[in-house]
Amino acid sequence: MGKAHLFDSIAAGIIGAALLAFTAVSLFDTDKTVSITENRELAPRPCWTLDTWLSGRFTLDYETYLSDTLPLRDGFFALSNSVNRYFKELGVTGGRWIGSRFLYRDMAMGLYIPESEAIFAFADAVGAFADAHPDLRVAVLPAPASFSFYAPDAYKSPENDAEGKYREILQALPSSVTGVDAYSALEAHRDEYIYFRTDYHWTQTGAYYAYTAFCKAVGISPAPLSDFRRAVAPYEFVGALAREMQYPEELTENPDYIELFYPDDTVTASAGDWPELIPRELCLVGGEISDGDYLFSLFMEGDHALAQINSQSDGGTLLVIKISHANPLSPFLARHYSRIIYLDPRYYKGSLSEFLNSQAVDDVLILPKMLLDSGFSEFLLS
Amino acid sequence: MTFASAAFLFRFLPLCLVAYYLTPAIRLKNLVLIAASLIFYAWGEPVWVALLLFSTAVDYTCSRLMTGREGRRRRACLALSVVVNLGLLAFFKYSAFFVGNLNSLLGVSLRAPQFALPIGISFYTFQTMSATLDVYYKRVNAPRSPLDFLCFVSLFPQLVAGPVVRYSDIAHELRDRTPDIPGGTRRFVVGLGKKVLLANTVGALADVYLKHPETVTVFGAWTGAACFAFQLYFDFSGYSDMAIGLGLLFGFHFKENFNYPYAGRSVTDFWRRWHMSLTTFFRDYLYIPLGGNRAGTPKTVRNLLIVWLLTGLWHGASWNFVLWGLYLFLVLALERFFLRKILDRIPALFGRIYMLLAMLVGWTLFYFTETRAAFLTLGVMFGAGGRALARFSDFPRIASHALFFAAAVIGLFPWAKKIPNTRTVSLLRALALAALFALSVAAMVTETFNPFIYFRF
Repeated sequence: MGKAHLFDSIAAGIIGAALLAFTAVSLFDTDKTVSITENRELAPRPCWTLDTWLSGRFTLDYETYLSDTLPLRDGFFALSNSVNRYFKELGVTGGRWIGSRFLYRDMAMGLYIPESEAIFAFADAVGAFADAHPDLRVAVLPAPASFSFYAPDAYKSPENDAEGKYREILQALPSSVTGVDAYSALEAHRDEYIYFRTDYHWTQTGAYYAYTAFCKAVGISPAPLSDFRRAVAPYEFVGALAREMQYPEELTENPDYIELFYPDDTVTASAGDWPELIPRELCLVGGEISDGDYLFSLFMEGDHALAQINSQSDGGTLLVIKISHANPLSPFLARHYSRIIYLDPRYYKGSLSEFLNSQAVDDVLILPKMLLDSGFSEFLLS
Repeated sequence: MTFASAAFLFRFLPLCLVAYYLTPAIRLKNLVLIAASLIFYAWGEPVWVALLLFSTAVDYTCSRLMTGREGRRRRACLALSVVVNLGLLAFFKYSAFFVGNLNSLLGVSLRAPQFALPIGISFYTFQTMSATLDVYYKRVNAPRSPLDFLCFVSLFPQLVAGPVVRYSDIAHELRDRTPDIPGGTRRFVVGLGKKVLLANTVGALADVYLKHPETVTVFGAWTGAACFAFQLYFDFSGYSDMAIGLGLLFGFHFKENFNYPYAGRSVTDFWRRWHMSLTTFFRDYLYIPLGGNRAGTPKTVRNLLIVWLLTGLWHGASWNFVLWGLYLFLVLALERFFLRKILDRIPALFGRIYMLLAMLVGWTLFYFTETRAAFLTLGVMFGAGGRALARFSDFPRIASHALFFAAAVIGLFPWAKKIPNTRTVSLLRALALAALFALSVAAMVTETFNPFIYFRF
């Protein structure tokens, strides 16, 4: 055997051994359920049924499950990011894309651009929901990401035009619901600290401007921000965007701080997690944080299947169907409603119509991520 | 199941290879391959396995019945195979297109059949038909064992996206073959890298520029078309490399499907190097039987037109593919009758630039299944509509991929073949192969954009 052939054989042996080792380990190890790096739940092993196999669902889910739970996945993630840094994100004016995330100087930005199909599906679901509950006043407030407010123009293009997409969403909504233009309200205050630089979420100041847009849309007067007791949390915050980008120095050396606006003292809150939904007392702003906790959990102690806020306000009941962006809005909304219910479709696995049958609700605020994930639309139809 | 997926790499392939290598005799090995291939196909297409088996049974029977027969009976067997296979294609691939056009043309509302295109039907119907055709032309003996024939048709490396392997190419290897594990691994890993590192990256860029013909600039349209050309090449040649590599792992030698097409000096030269298994199929089984270029200019033109319209239609049941075929016919006819002499005389570089521009126009037709969007983009490329030449936001994405494009361009030309095969080079090549595999797996499990374009044909 010549040397050249020997090297080829050794390379083939290494690759073959790696394939077998990964296969064996991934067959017999315990599957991880959460990715800290990506800040998301990993896909579970799908159950095989004839129906799911024939429909193609099983094979798709199995592929996702296998990719999600592959041994050393975090290592592969880091390797991929390092290579992309040079081959896909070679910066020319200081900005670079890391997957669908964007880094410019010391600010990381998320970008939510929904597909047109997702917009139509969402608008249809909202319309069907409003038609099924004609006695409810329904408002929709999609939460945009920070890219379109802060990315340099050089990086903007028709394909990542979040403002245009926001208008498309509002236009697609049926006339029976109220579209809330939070985009314009945030844009008007883009020079303030309305988005975290290391995280996807808006700050509580940003949430306040979204709240003012909601008030304007439904015809109520917003409370001034100065009415709320203010404090700064004693923590440095390096959020989920930084983590997903493998902690670039520009971000770790310039962490965020968290400004807190507290609810009135008379406001009380409770939350329950699926499936028991047993209510326990909840701190709306500035709850206890342990080492390693995600600091956006300072608002409503994170996300819960169901939460309820009671206040001394004269208003009725507001149901908020939401993602985590809605959490810092709660002190502001409590000024206008005596009872606010927060339902999170990612954790609440019951039927929305059954829930509404058991509750007296006056208004509904639908607050999805601007990506308009299909899960949200499905929940509205449940 | 695609080759660039975790299910294939970390479940199907290792288990299949272990079962295959542990099985002692060639006939038993063939049975392992048949079982594995049917599982591979049924993974994504549980129902259409029956169609694959039907096509196999028809061509096995037709080719067997031809043995020892001549004249009308022999021709009848051939006709049965051709009618059944083209009938399957017509029904499953083209009926909705045909009915849709009939409805528009006559103002009627006939109901088109509603089902998804069975994966790989364009490839395996051609492969089974090639066996009957080769037996008819006495290029190969009819298969004796139905299991061997099923092994050939269902062979998973080439089942769903080619290359179009002919029975005569591998008939002898169904009984006697030796695997080439180092060669097969190298070829497979190179193909995997082309697919997940190059094709997926540049494909995402192509979509960014071409998805919005209403707003794209002149520079954006050309850049998008160029990115799509890159994507198609790396996607399909990467798939062919993987197929050839997998074939070698089991001892089969499939013919090459690509020969650096962008090194061609004309569109004619390009097509001698692109998807060679399909172009030679059309040449041998359609163009030459029609008379090829031996019956005068008018018939040559007619034959070219038929071949290229059918080549276009083979790629998909929509008008853009028909127009694409027609466009290629025009360009190739122009080269054959007028441009060839000029292209032979000018420096190769100018020929390549002309070929590239002509192909980019063709790939733009190929990209858009909606012809209105295709013509809108083509119009923008040639200055219609008063679009901006470029906007500043067109550039950062391309600039940020500068090193990537440098690597991709290297992959377009056969420079690597010119490096002498010394010990150091071999060692570096082996190390690069292992690194390429790790990078490909990393990209595969972390990136979400992973289409296989030729799966839809």
